[in-house]
Amino acid sequence: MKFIRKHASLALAILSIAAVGYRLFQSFLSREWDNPQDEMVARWDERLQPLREALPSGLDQIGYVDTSMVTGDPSAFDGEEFFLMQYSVAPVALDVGVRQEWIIGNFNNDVDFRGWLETRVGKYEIQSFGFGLYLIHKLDP
Amino acid sequence: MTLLLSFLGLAPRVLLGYWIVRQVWRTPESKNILIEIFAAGAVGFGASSLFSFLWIWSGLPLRGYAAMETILAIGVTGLMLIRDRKDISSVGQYLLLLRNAGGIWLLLLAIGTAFFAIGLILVNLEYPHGRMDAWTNWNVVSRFIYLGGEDWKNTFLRQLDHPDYPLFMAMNNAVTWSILQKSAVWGPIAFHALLAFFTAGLLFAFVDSFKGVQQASLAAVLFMTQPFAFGSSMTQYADFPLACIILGAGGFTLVYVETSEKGAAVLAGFLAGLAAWTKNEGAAFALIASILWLILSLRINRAAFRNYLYGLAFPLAVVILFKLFLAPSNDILSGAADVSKQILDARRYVDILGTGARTLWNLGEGPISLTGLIIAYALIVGGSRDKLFGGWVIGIIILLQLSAYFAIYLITPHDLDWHLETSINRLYLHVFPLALLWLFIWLKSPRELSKER
Repeated sequence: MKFIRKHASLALAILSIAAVGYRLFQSFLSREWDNPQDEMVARWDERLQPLREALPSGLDQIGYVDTSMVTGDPSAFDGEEFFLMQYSVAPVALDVGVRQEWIIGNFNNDVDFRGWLETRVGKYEIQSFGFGLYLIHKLDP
Repeated sequence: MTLLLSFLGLAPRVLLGYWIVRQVWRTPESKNILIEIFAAGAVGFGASSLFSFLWIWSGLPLRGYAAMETILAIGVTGLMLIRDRKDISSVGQYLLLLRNAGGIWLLLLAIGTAFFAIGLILVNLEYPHGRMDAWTNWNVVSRFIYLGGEDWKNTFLRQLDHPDYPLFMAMNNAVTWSILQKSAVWGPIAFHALLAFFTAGLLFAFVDSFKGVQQASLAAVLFMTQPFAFGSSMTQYADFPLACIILGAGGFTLVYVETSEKGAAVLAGFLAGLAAWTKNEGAAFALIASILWLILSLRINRAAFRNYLYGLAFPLAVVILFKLFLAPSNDILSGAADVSKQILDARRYVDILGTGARTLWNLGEGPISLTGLIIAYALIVGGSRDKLFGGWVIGIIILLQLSAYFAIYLITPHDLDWHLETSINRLYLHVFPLALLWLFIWLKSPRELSKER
């Protein structure tokens, strides 16, 4: 027992190191660190670059609408894409809805949003940036 | 090159933090040099975030602050190196004494540190932008501050997340980007990686100060080899920085209780205030620490609380100004409509305690239960005969902090299962390094065990 007590601290340290070494080795082999997930934010940021450049200067807020608003299904609101969008367009703050003069549209390709937009904002001009991304400018603010 | 510059860009803050700790504490013990070095991270980053926030709030450009801070750091470092050159050489002699710990312990410490670094790198490669909350709640604010210029306050217009969160991390990332002159992903990575090492180093330093290098090595190795530790650091959330700050505040509280060194009280107060500037849960810590310090001062020395307040005053004032004049209301406090029903619901107590116990058992996220290992180890080696009264104080701080979290879960307006699942392990992280400090102050050290007959 005395031997165990005397060497317990060494044993704990060695066991901890062995356990994490094994875990890191497994992580390395599984290539979790090479997961394409890590590209998501960078990819999104890159995708938003042309839209960001098209934003007029001096904007504090910009509207945001997505497919869920067109279909009237709030449960389909994509929170992750909203937050990615906010991260990418900072320092402009997103305002969900069509209150603002300038609005970002994030729509699925099969959604007919134009008629919906016309009933909500009246006359508007629109620029498309691919990937379902649009910059909408209300002509009757 | 950006990676190297990102780390170098942190150096002015760390240097200033070091000189602040040294000037405030004025400890006569050369053995405390490691505490001074590793506390420099939290103190330096904290002081910088407070001053840079006030700077931009007064309408001045952030780039000017970054330049001024860098020049100040270089100037102060030069002056202090000349003035303190005798102290620095005696410190070098102490560092050489660390070799007496024994080659095996230094080797284990080196391996543990290497594995910690590898763990940080692997998690970072998988999540270079951090996990989701990093880009929804934390780094997004840094972007508003750095890219927004005089319109940085647009950050408070953000919807669906937490625009009321304080700005410790956001200001630090924004200052780094000002130095880099771009919002590079390496900025936050360097900050969190450095803070991770400073946390491990600070734990080592505090334990070493009271129990020797071997016990300190064991504590640091145990901390660094938990996947939970390096994984949490590179999420780029505020939880790990808060854990570092709570460790610092608790550690300096321990130092004061054992030595009555006035500067330790001031630093404890400063770090307690910083906790509230880091994350909203830190406000609970600041309150708990302040009440404990008041009680301590009645028991030990009336001047203790006054000195603690000297440190607390500045960060607390900034937090109050921020909350009063800038931050929107908090989701939990504004949503807690009918708490009486929740408080009287016995099922909630069972759910919270049950999830808490399961999470505590699996804490560390290693292949072996960390809690089980620690219990087994404690039963084998037993408690140290050299009891420190300060150990009890730290234990009480941890218990009260966890109780505060329990209360938050009790009254949360969010779905309880969701709230527990998404946050409880991070709340344990806040007190994890401090709990290890408490544990290894309490347990017999290898040095004590080797002297046993």
